Amino acid sequence: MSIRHALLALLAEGSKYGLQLRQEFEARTGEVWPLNVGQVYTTLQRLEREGHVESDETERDGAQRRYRITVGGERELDRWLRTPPGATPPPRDELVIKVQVAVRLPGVDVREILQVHRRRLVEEMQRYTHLKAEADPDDIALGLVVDAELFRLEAVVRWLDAADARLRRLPATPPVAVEAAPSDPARPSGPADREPTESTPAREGARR
Amino acid sequence: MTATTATPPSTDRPAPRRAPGGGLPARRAVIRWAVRLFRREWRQQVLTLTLLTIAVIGATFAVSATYNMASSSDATFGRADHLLRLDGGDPAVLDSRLAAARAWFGTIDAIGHHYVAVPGLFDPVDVRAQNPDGAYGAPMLALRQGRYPAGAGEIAITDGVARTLRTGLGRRVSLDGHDRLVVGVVENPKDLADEFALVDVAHADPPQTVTVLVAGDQASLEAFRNTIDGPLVRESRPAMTRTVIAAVTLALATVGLLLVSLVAAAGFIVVAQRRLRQLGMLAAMGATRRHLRLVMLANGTVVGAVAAVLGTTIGVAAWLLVAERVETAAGHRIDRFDLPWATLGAEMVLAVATATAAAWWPARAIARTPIMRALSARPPRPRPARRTALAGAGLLAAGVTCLVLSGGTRPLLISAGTLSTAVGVLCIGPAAIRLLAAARGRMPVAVRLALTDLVRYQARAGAALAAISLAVGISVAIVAGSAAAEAHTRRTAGLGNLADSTLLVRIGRPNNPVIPEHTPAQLASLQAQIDQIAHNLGTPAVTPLDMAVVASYTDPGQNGSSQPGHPAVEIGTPLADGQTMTSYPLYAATPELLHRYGLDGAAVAPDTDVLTIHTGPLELGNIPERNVHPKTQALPDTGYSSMPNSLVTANMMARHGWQPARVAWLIEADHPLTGQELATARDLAASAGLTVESHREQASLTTLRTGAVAAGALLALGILAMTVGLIRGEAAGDLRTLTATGAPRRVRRTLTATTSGALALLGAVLGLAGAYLALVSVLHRDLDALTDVPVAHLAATTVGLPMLAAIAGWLLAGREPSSLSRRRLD
Amino acid sequence: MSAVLSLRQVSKVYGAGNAAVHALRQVDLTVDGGELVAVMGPSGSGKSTLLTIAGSLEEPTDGEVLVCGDDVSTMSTDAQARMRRRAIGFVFQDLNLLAGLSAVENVALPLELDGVGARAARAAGMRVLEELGLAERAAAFPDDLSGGERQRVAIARAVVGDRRLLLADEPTGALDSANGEAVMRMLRAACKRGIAGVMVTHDAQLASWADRVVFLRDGRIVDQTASTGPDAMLAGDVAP
Repeated sequence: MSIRHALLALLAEGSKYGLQLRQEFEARTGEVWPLNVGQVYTTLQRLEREGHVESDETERDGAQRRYRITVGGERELDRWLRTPPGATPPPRDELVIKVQVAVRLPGVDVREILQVHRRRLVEEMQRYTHLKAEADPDDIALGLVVDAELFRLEAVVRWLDAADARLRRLPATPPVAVEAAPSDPARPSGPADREPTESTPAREGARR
Repeated sequence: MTATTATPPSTDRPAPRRAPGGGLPARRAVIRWAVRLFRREWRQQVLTLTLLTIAVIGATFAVSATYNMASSSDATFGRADHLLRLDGGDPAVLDSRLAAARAWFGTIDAIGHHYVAVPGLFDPVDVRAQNPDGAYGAPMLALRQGRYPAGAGEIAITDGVARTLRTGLGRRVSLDGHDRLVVGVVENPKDLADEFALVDVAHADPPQTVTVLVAGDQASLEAFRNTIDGPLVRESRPAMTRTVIAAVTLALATVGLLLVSLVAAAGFIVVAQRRLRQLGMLAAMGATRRHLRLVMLANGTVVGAVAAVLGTTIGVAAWLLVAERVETAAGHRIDRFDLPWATLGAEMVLAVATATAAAWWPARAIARTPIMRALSARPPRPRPARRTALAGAGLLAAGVTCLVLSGGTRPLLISAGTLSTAVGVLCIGPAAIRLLAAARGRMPVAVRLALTDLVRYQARAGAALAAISLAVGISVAIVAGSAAAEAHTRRTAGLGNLADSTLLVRIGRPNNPVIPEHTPAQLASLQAQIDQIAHNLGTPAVTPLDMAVVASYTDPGQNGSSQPGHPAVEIGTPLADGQTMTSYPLYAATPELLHRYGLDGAAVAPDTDVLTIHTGPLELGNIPERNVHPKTQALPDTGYSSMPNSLVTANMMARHGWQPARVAWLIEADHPLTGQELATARDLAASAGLTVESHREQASLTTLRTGAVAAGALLALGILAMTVGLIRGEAAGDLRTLTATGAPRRVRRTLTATTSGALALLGAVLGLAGAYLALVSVLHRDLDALTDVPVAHLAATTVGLPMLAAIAGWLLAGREPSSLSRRRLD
Repeated sequence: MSAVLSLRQVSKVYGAGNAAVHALRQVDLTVDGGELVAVMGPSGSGKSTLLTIAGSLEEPTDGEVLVCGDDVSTMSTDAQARMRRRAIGFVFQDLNLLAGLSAVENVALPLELDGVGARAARAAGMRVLEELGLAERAAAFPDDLSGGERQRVAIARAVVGDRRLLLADEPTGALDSANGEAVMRMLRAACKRGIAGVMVTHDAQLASWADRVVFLRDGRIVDQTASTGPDAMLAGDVAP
C-alpha cells in the first residue's frame, strides 16, 4: 500500500499533526502490514513539495506540524483510487518455482512438500482469522485488510490443492524412502509421522 | 484467558436423573412434531386421507341405515322383554291368569285383541283394546291424527283399515254390530304394516286373545310359567337386536376399512421416505428408534382421526338427509337421530386403530434405517422383490384356501380370505414391476428411463400399484360378481317372474309359511272377487292354486296379530350346514294345474311324490316329519320363477294326511296386460285383501357394473395421477438434464405416459387376476356362473384404464419442468 | 485438560472384497474441551466419515471412539442415542432444522427428547438463543429464517444443555461469506464456553477459524498445525 495515498486519505478526514498521522497510520494498518513508519515524515515532506498537502507552522519539525490536504492533493487521491493496481507479481510465485523444481527432482515426495507449504499457509491464515475473531466485528478497517490477506493466502492454498490433484494423475514416481523430517517443532509427533509417504500417489493412481 | 472457564469433562458429573428413554416429555415432543408436520404437509397425504374418509363414510352410513332399517322387535314387544298370549275363550281363566301375571311381574301391560270379520273382506280387522300410555306397549302405538278413543262409541283406526273399510276420520264405522265414530288415525310406529283398530280399554268387547307384555329375565318367565296349569304361549324378545345387526354391519365395514388401510400403509411408506432426512436429523439429535417409530405412528393416528371425524360427520349427515325417504321402504317410523352412537364410536376408534396399524410397518422400516442412509435421504434398500413375491404367493394360497373353505357363507373366512388375497396380490406388485422393467431392453430411451425409474422408486411405485390394483380389483369383483349373480338368477328364473299376460293373485302375502284358515263363505267371496278381476281381462284362463297344509297342526299365528292357520309343506335343497335349506313353494298337483303344464293324470307315475323342475337332493320341510325325501318326476320348466315349479301329488298328500288350502289363482289372459288393466286388477284385489303379482322387468345389474367400473377407474386414475406426479417429481432432475441435452418435449411426454401406462397396466392385470382368483375360490362349486364374462366392462378396465392413463400422462406432461433453483425446505 | 473426544486407531471400511473402500485408516485424534479442531481434506478423504463415527452415527470397523471417556462404538443404539442427546451436537451443511417447529422449539428438542419438561426445555432453548443473539427470531419457523439464521439456530441446538462435543460438517457450505463469518464466530464462541468442537471442511478459510487444523488425506491424518487453542494461549500471550 502506498504510504503517500494512505497519508492523503488520513488528511482527507481533516487536518492532523504529524505525530497524529503517524499513530493513526500505525493503528489502522500496522497490525497487518508493519511498514517503516519513519517514512511517514519524509513522505509528508515530499507531498508538501508536490503541493498535495500544506502546513502552516513551517518552523517546527514534522511531528508537531499541522498538515492539511490541498485541492491538488484531493484530486491526486481521487485519481489514485480509480487507477488499477500495478501488475507486479506476488512474491509467493517463488512457491510455483519450488514445486516445479520438486517435481523434477528425483527422490522427493512432492505431495509432502505441498503439505508442508499448505500447513504453513493455513497456520498463517489461522493467525489472521484469529485476529479477526478477537476483534470487534464492526472494525471494518481491520476486517478489510485481514480479508484481503486471507483471500490471497486461500488462493495459494487452493493452488496447492489443485497441484496436489494434478500430481495424482502423474505416473507413479519411483518409490524412494524419504525420511519424514519433522523440521518444524510445532508439528506434533503422532500419526503423521507414521504416515508411509512412499506409496500413496502410486495407489491413488492405480485406483483411478 | 477464555480457556480457564472450560468446565470439567462430563464423566465427573452425576448423570441427570431422567427417564432413560426420554419419558413422557420426549414422547410429547415427538408427537407434537408429527402433528405439526401433518398440518403442514397434509396435502401429501390427501389420497390416503380421502380413501380412509370414504371408507368411514360408507361404514357410518351402512351402520346407521341397517340399524334403522332393521325391523325392530319393539313392534311386538314395545319396551317389554317377553309377551304372553292368553286365550280369552274363558273370561274367568283369563282374569285369573292376568291376576297371576300381575302378581308375579308387578307391572304388566295387557292388550286385548278382538278379531272382527268384515263381509267381503278376507282378513278380519284386529280390534285392539290397548292403553296408549301402557307401561310397555306405548312405543307400539302412536297417534297420527285426531285423538285416542275415550268412550264406548269411539274408535281409532290405522290408515290401512280406513282404506279397507272405506272410512276416515270423523266418519262412522260399523264393526261387529257396534256403530262407532272414528276419532283418530293411529299406527304402530315400529311396524307401519301393522293394521288394526283401537278402542278404549274400558269399553272394549271381551277379547278373543290377550297379549300381556312383561319385563324380567328368562328365568323369571319360566318360573312364572311353572306356576300356571296348562299351556302358556310365551315369546321372548329375540337376541338379534338391531344393535347386533349394526355391529355385524360394522364388522363387515371393518373388512373394507382394512383393505383401505393396505393402501394407507403404502401411502405412509411414501410419506416416511419423504421425511427420511428429517427423521435422520431427529435420530442424530438423539431420538431413539422408539421415538422415530412414534413419529410415523402418530402421523397414522392423526390421519385416522381426521378421517374418522370427517367420515363419521359426512356419513351421519348423509343419513340424516335420506332418513325420511327410506321410512316407507323400512316399514316403520325412523327417528333419524336414533343412531347406534356406541357402534359409531367404535367405528371411529376402529378407523383410528386401522390407520395407526397401517403406519406401523413404515414406522418400523424407518426406525431401522441406518442414520447415515436417512440423513442422505436414501431409503433403505428394498427387500428383494423375489422374497416379497414369495410371501405374496404364500398369502394368496392362504387366502384362496380361506375363500374355498368359506363356501361363500362364512363371513369370518370370507373376510380373512379377501384380506389375505388382497395382501398377496399387493406383495406380488414389486416383482411385477421388475418383470415389466426387464422387458425394457430394446425400447426407446425415454421408455427405458421411465421403467428404470419405476424400479428405482420401488416403494413409491409399489404403493401406487397396490392402490391401483385394489381399486381395479374391487371394481372387477363387483362386475364379475354381479354378472355371476345375474347369470345365476337368470338360470333359475329364466324369463323372469311371470309372462306379461299372466297374473298371480294371492291371498295374503307370498312366502308365508302359515296358510290362514278360511271359511267356505270367505273363499266364495274371494272367488267372486277373482271372477270380477278375470272378467275385466276378457276371457282369461283361471287356475286356482292350492298348497298342501298340515291340517293336524294349528299355528296360533305370527306376531299375535294375524289369524291362526296351518303350516304349508315346502320343498327345498338342504344347504351345506345341514340345518337350513333353500325352500321353494310347493303347490298341490290338481288336474287343472297339471293340465296347464300339458300333463294329464296318466303322465304322472303312481309312485311320484313331487313333480319339480329342481334337481339334486330335495327334502320336504315345514312338516312334523324329518328327512322326507320325495320321489320326484321332472316338471316342464316354464322359465318363469313365480310359476308353480314344484307340485305335490294327490297320492303323497293323502299318504301324509295333508289338506289342500287355497292360496292363489293364476289368471292367464290371451294378450299382454296393459297398465290400465293391471291397475284395475290391483284395485279390485286390494279391496278384497288380495295381492297381485304381475310381469316384472328383470332388474338388470348392468347399471351397477358400469358404476363400479367407473368408480374403480376414477379411483385408480386418481391414485395414478398422484404417483406419476411424485415419481416424475423425483425424476425432475433427469428431465431437466434431458431437456438440457436437447431432448424434445416428446421425450418428456413419452416418459410420463410410459410411467402412468405401465402402472395402470400392471394394476389392472393384478387387480383383475386377484379379483377373479377370489371369485373362483368363492364360487368354486358353481363355476358356470363365471363363464358369462361381462367382456365390455372388463375390457374397459384392462385396456381402457392403461390407455387412458397413458394418454392423460402424454397430454399433461407438456409443461416445462419447474426450475432447479426452487428447492423447498423438505 | 482431559479429552472430550478421542479416536484411537479408528478404521472404517465400506463394502468388502474388491469393492472395499477404506474411508479411514488407523486414525488417532484427541480433542479437548474448549478447543475447536478443523479436519481439512479434499472430498473423498474420509473427513465426513470421521465426523459421523465421532458422533456415533456410524460404527467404526476397528478402533475405539471415546466421548467423555465412554466408548460409544460398543454402546447399544439406545445408549448411543442418549449420548447424542446429552453430549453431542451436530451441525450439518444445510437442512438442519425440523420443519414445523419454531427456532426455539428446534433448540429445545434435544432436551425434551432427554426427558426435560417442555417448559423447562423451552426456557433453556431461549437462554441459548439469547446468548447467541438470536432471541428475536425464536418464534420464527425454519421456512422464514435466512440460511445464516438457520445455521446459527442449528448451532444453538447443538450446544443447548450440557453438550460437550459439537460436530460440524461444512457448517457454512451453503452460505455467503458474511453469513459464513457470523456462523463461524458463533461456533468459536460456543467452543470458548468449554465445548470441544470438530469441524470438517475442504475450505482453508473456514479451517483457519479453528485452534488446530488436522489434514486428512486418503483416510489418514497426515499433518496438523500447531495448536493455537487454549493451551497455546495459556503458554504465553504470544505477540504475532
